[in-house]
Amino acid sequence: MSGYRLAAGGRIDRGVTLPFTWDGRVCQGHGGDTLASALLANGVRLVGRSFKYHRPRGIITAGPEEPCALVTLSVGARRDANTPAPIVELFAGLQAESQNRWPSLKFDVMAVNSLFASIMPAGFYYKTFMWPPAFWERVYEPMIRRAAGLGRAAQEPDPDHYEHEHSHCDVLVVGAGAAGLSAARAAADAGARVILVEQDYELGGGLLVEPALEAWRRAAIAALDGRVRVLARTTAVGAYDHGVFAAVERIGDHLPKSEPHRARQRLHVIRARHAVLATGAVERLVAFPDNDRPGVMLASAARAYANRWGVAVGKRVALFTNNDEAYATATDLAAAGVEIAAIVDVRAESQAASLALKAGLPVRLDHEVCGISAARGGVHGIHIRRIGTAKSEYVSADALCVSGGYSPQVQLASQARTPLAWSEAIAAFVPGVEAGPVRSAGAARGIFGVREAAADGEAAGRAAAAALGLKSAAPVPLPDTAVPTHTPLAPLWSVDAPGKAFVDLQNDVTADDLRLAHREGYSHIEHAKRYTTFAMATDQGKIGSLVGSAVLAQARGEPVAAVGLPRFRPYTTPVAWGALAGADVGAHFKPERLLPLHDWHTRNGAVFVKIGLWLRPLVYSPSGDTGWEPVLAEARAVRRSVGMTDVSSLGKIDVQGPDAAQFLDRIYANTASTIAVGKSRYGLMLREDGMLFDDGTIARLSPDHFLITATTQKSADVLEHMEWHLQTVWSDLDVTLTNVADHWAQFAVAGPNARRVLEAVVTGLDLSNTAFPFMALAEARIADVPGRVFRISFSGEQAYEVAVPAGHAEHVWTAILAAGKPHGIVPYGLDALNVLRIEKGHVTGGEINGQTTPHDLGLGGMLKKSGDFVGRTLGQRAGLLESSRLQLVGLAPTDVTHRLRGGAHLVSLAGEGPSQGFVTATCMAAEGKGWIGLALLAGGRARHGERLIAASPVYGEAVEVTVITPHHVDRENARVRT
Amino acid sequence: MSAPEPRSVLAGSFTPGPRGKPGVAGVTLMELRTGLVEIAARRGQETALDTELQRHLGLGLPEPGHAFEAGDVAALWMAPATAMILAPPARLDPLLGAIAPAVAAVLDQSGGFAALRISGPMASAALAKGCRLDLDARVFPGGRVARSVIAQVPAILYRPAGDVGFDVIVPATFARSFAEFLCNAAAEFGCTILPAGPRPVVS
Repeated sequence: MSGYRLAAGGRIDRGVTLPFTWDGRVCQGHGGDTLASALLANGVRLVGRSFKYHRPRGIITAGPEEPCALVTLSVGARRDANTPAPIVELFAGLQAESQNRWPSLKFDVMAVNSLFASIMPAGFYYKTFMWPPAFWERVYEPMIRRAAGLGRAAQEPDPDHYEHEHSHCDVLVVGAGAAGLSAARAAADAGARVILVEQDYELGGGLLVEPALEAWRRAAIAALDGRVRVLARTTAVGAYDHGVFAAVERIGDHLPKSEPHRARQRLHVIRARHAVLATGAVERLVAFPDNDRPGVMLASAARAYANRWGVAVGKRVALFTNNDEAYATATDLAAAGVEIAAIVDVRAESQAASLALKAGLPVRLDHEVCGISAARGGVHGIHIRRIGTAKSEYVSADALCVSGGYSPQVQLASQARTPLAWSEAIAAFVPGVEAGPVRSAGAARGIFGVREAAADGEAAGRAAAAALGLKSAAPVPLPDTAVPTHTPLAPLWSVDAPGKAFVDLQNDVTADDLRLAHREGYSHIEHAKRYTTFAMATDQGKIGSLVGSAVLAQARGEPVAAVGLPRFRPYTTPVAWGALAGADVGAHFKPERLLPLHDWHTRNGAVFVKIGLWLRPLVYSPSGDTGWEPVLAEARAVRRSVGMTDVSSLGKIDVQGPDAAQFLDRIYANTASTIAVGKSRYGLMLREDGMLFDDGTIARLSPDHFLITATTQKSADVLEHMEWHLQTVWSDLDVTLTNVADHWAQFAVAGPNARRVLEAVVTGLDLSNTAFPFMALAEARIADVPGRVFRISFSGEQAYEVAVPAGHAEHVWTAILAAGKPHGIVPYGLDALNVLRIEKGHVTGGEINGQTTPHDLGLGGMLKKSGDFVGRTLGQRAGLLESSRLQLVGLAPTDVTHRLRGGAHLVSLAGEGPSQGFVTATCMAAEGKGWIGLALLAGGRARHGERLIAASPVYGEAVEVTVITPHHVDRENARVRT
Repeated sequence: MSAPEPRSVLAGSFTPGPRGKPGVAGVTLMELRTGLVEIAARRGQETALDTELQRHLGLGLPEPGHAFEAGDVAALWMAPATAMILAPPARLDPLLGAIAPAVAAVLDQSGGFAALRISGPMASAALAKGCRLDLDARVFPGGRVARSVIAQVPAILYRPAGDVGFDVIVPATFARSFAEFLCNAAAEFGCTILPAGPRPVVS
């Protein structure tokens, strides 16, 4: 217990009290607090246990760079793990819990790991838990995962919804500090469309801890009003090619529950012509022993807690620094009445130190912190010593503010391909030579100081506007701050003293781990990163990765610039899966395509099956029974009298023009140009490699006008295939392709009584067998709706397909059903359709599987003998013509009571040897008894009568089958012509 | 027996009334009852088709990415030398047999698509949840047409002149999914579904 609420100051609303719970304990905060500031104000120092060693950890930062204070929010389905406490806006009733501790935060069993820390260096798990090998997966890994981890995800479905937005602008400004506000204003003044994103819930960045600049901040924000799209609580998480940025807007995270009708988070995909990255800089830690103890905090964070949230991080605070900027923390805390225990500065002299000494603060120049005394998990004193000496001195303190300098936030710039350059002046990497439309500004490129950053932001905003050809207006007012003279920082990465000195607080990686990585040959920064897990945690090492690089550089005896930083990748901060998925989840994962008759099918007991995007009736079964009985009843109605099925999902492409016949001759493997007007033909389309691509019908409406069909699954591919050839290969042909699939509803009426039924509803057409024979087509009125009638059959029965505009589908469908009532007409679904086609030996996607040729499926005779077509040349390769290839056959179990399984492999009767083929389709026969199937069998056409075993390891079944013709029904194909 | 009126694919699922946030009307949705005819000029017949269209409808073949609209007829660019004509069915019926096949392919698509008018101050904000195009009036002004994919659905997007919103034309079999996307996207702004009706005539 050492932090406390200051009597005055900060941007919080002291009139508003917000109760919340921390590990079940009721605490109170104020309006404007974050969970971190409220916890500190309540004296909470220990907030979590570390990932590997279960060391006690506190709050280190005041922003999203936080590596330690990760908490679990809320309960039940809304439970949200691993959230950094400094970014959690407090609301009344917030429930927060610490993570990675058992049974409790104060007494954690796994903290015993700490005792063995000296024998658990980097790579420890891989080196130790090697033997026996089988134990890794079953014993070691689950054990390690249980011990080392973070929070648990919710198991229930997320009750909130998420969405995406495609956002566009001339200039995207990331970060609303002094630089970002000025850049946005300058660009907007010139007339650019500007989006300004700020991860914080308040605009201002560093200005929020400078009460003296509040007026300028307000004016700068007011100047954007109505002109700039300002997105607060929005983090730019990724920069991609062509000016695309990803940003996550947290719309409802700060509320107990998302507002009705609003998303909880929104992922913006921002397409920006130019971008100004004003992402600021983050203070970095110093690797000294026990630099992770609760009570150790970055100096800028301690200052922010005092100035923005009115919270003192301790009663007696020490400061450890290598730069002048950090002195502001000591002076501000002192002004707020906090006792300063010591200012430990590694430099021999400093202007800031002189001023502090004059103010009566205890400055210890040329000193370093070499250890921490901690009790009950928190700092109660520090050990300091003069640089280069061994004798240390104890200074009592309950908090230690650390500053190792400031690293520009270059993640987005680096992702946008800006090379990084080493700056000696600030001992950090800054964006190097910028080419293209992404510019960094302010502290993000090492320009420190509010006025300087604002001026730099204005210049970047102007430059972006100028590059867009826009004229800049009057200069943007800059904040009036005294320009202080600074003593440069002295680079300081680690302190050479015994103990664990962390460079990555979230993944528990120490300076020694990196030195070990180098000794063991993992000297490249990317190798060291993977060997030690350094900078790989959810914070991506924002406050420590440069320190780790510097420690590695020292070990390698090279400058930091030669080592570099681990590669930055999206996302810059963790992103919720919900935001990435957006609204495309559950029922909305993909759009649904509904048949024109969808409502009728629903009302009449259809059980739907999802095929691709389509919802199609599988069987009409008001009881919901999807077994074989209702399916066979439908199929038998077709074989015995008449049935009707909805085939509207077929692809339908209108092909017309003087070269239409020639085009179809080339695109199909069989001939189209010889089809008489008013006739259809079955057509085969091949891929360039000679494999069967799709099948369908080609109908000739007039000499230059055809209508072709494609299978439901391939319809889009077929249109693309045809368009591609027309536009690129044969652009000389005058042909127009039009997708008319959705305009036409189409129904197959099949069975011995099909003609009798249609004769009752079709007018203007003689349907008699002589006037309208098999494969004929004509325009006609069906139930007084103008449409088309095709005499084609997929069932093997006398059959017709009628096509009418989709808006008349239900009228025509119900009229045909009414006309068929005396004949016992039934609607039939996809399962019955499949039974009928398997019995007939027609092929579909199971057989046209991308690996079969027309010869394989017994359709070789259809290929035209002269003239070229797509797939002809490569289809003639010797290997594709071999008689030993898998060929289509029919199968019948020797014992009709045995079940055939799709996917079963065909092996010799002895059940030995390699697979000779596999079963592609099975069903219960509608005509005849028991199961039948289609299969692809090596050399199958010459093996009719042979007996084999169909083995299904999936079901543990083996069934004896006889190879037969695939045409189980009506081998002479007589019924279709009756 | 006479042919009934064609039934809209949205009938029964796109009930008029308020949706989403109550008390505000950021977005207004309306199903447009319109006939659609797709017309593609034969090779080298662009001028002839333009003349034919002028004669029959009083407007010509639009430039890529653009549309012509006059009275109750709109011609939207679809592809090179190809346009989708939106008009009351009575105006389109004569067209279907009037243009010679040697000049253009003329196809009735009235059953193949559903057309929706999306208007209101938040119309483009709602569309932006599924549409990748920049709908800012400076970039996509009145008279512009685009073919794109909105919420995974292939769509023809048209912004009529006069700040009346957007017309989106989607394949009929996708129409309900698309309407559902629109209602969900517009919910936070307050959404009103109007009864289906003819395309409002440009004054």
